[in-house]
Amino acid sequence: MADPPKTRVSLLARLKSGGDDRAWEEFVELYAPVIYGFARKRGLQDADAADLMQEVLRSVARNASRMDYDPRRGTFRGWLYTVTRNKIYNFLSGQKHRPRAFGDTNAQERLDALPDASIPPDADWEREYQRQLSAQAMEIVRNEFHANSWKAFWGTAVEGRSANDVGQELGMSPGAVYVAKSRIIARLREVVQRLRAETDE
Amino acid sequence: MPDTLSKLSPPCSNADCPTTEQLQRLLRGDSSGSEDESLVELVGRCQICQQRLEELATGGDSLFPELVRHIDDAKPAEDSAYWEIFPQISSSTTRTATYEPDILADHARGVLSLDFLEPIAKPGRIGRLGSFEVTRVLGRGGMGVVLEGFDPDLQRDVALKILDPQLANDPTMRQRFCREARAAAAVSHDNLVAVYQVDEDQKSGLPFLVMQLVNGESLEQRLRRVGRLTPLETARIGMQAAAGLASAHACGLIHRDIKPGNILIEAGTEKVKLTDFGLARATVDMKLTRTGFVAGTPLYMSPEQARGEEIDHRADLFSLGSVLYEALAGTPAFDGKTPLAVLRRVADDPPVPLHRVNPDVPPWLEEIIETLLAKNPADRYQSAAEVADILASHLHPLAAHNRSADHCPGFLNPFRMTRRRIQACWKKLLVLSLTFLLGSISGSLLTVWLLPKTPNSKLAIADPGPEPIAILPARSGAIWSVALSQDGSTMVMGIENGRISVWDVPGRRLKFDLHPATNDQAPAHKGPVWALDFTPDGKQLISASDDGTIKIWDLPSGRQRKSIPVGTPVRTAAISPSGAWVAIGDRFGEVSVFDLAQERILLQYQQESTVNGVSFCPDNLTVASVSTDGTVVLWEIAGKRKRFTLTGHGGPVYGLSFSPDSRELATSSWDKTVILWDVDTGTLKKQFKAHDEGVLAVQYSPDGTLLATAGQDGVARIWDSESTELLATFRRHQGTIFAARFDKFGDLLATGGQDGTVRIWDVGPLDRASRAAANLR
Repeated sequence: MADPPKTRVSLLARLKSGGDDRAWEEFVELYAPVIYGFARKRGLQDADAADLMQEVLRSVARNASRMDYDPRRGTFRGWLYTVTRNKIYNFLSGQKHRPRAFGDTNAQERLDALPDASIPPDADWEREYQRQLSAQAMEIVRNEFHANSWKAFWGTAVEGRSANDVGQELGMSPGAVYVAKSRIIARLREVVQRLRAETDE
Repeated sequence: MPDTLSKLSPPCSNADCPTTEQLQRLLRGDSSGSEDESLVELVGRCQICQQRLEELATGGDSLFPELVRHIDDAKPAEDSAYWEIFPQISSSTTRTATYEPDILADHARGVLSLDFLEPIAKPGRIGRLGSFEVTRVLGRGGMGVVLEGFDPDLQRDVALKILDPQLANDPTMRQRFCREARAAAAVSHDNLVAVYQVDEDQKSGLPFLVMQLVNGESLEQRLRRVGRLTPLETARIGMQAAAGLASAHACGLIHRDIKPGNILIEAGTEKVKLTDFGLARATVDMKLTRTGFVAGTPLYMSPEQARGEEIDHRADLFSLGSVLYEALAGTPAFDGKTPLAVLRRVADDPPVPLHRVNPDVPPWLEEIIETLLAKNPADRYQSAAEVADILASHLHPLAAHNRSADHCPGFLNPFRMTRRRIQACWKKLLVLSLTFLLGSISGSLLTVWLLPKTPNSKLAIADPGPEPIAILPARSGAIWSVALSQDGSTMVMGIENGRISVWDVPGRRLKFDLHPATNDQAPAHKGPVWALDFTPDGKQLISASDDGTIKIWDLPSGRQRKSIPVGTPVRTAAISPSGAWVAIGDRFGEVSVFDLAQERILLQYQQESTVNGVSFCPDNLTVASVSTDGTVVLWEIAGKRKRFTLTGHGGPVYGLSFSPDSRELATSSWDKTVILWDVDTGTLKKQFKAHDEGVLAVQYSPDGTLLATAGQDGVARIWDSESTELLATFRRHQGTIFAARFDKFGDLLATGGQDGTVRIWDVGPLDRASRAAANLR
């Protein structure tokens, strides 16, 4: 099941090395919706959440090349969570007065550039991240299966319809629908695990 | 996969149903065709089998199906602002990139060897150029190489800029280089790198410039290092760069290539110096004709340059706007994947509004930059002097107040103003007059930003109160920490730029700066000096900095005794009453107590956010810390046991001080109040509103009768610690006060803050009055 090791070059390492535009695009594709979704969950309006997403990613872009990443302080995802959380906090508190440590504006970037092991990413963040990994995995996996198998999976697993209904629509037996759905789920999990390994370390 | 199997539901009782192995084969799709079909059919009929199949597929991860369910709404809605921003951030490379076309880069790398240097026998020198001894290569650019040299005649270090040999072969190019360089040499200004002479190397025939050697870094290097600058820093750099441009423009000289790499920042003084004046013309024109392609850095080019039109001094103003934009945004104002794409954006597109990229940018600064970036030169400010003045008026609003009307572009001739300029002008006047109304305490940039938030301030025309007995100016940035020696004769200030200055209070003069043991020129620290504390015997000083070190200094010698790397940005530090221990708190909320002699950690604990202050109880048994998380915690040092977590403040807690009898702890907060806690029981004894804004510092006088507070409203106050009656208010600071400390006898109070001064106040009379009152009670 293991993919060749060369595909496991971490996204962070690729970002750090610079000049790898594809790494940046992959990174943005995965994390932009995570950050946006999380900000929405924390109560930000659409436009504010989109702005915040941009700000966090720009901060990563600026810091990626000189990020002295220390795995002991937490995961890369945890670091990104800290940055996002801080910016949301600043945003929300900025709407009233802005309580924060004095001098923090000055050193905010530095602070942002360090992961904070003391604060494990919370459940909402994790869920957004897992959902985006799954969504990305679906893009990758989709073409590996017959169109009808995919529709069977989509109808049951994503849309939550019954295997009978979906099967009738596609001219498949309920059993075939179940098997197609399960095969795709099994494959998705494999890909999700690989993506996680690539994006996390 | 035994683990997975153990999590599976029990197999169904129906003997016909597939085994676990068969289900797994079905999943992998490698069972034989006929077997496959019958198994599929069985699965279709048996719910338990369906469940087991799914469990096998998910590896027992019951959350996975939940995650997949309605994954189609994982993307933002179709009409979300997300989709406007996503393509920008995803496709445009947001990282700052300087576009040196490959031909140029190769050219610079390949052709520019140092062959033209004559050998030299002296150690530490790499060669000789003319009469100059070359010590090292400072940099290479599109136009040539820059060397560090030594002028043995005048005994001074210089920078030598040598024209690229390929360009030097072209006689018109040489002429231009020399002519422009001579013109640059004719201008002298504090914000321009001085050009001493233009020379020609006898042997190689290469022309070169002899220039002032600036010890520091370019804005380009700084941005690469820190990402982006604060609005204050940006405005300051902008003002100085504009002042330099103004003097050059006055001599008819246009820079043509203002970019972060040409803006040098002197170490220590932070003075801004522009370099490479007019040289851009010599090189850029040449490359244009040779390759028919725009070379250099189009990122900061003006639209008229991008279109290849005639330019005047206003092109430099546009470039300055681009540079200031990038300093605040961290990304270029006009970015693109190719130089051509950049040029197109420079000419046609407005940049993304600054406040969207960096919400910390105040509106007035955004407006100034927007005006600089007007596509049409006529819509920009019309002179660099005007830009310097306007930036200065914001940096020092009070000083500029009386002149502000003159600074408004075309104020006396409104017909020539664009609408936006009129608006900008009125807004500025409004801010200035508000600042003035709010009185003596405003003044600093910080206060100007905070103005809209303090409409109820009643400090309007208040009596400015007593004057300090001494004003000691740091002249290099905000003061974050102060310490007074036992007798109050020596005052030490910790400054934002890492400097620590030692002052003679009676003489009101700077004695010396502290320097690291390894470098007697560099500032004491590489980051803001957050905390200073004398040892109880007054012979040593401890400093703590954002640079992740604490240092111990011998006084009065000023020698660095020890540098202890802590590894995290230290936000605060204090020495124990015995002098044996030091407590530090960092930005990540960690508090540590060190034994100095043994260099060993005695106690370590965590708060949830930045630790803003630590203090030892005078009984030497307890350490307390306060944090942005709003809590005050007390720990027993020897027992490594937490005594209390005190919650009572309605926001970040900044300052703390134990009463000398160890019975009370005073804390101050963003919530504008001071709380007095009972140290024994952890109960809140008293809470009172001390300031109109956040209270950053609180300290007991050495005899415990007085409390000093200071804060964001720029005011320092003295209170009777028993009755919490207000005894005196000191209002002379222009901006937030970050630190306030008594001397050993409680006669003097030193306050330092945003306005870059430390003020020493005489509290002796108050102290005595308070003591007398206490006796009466």
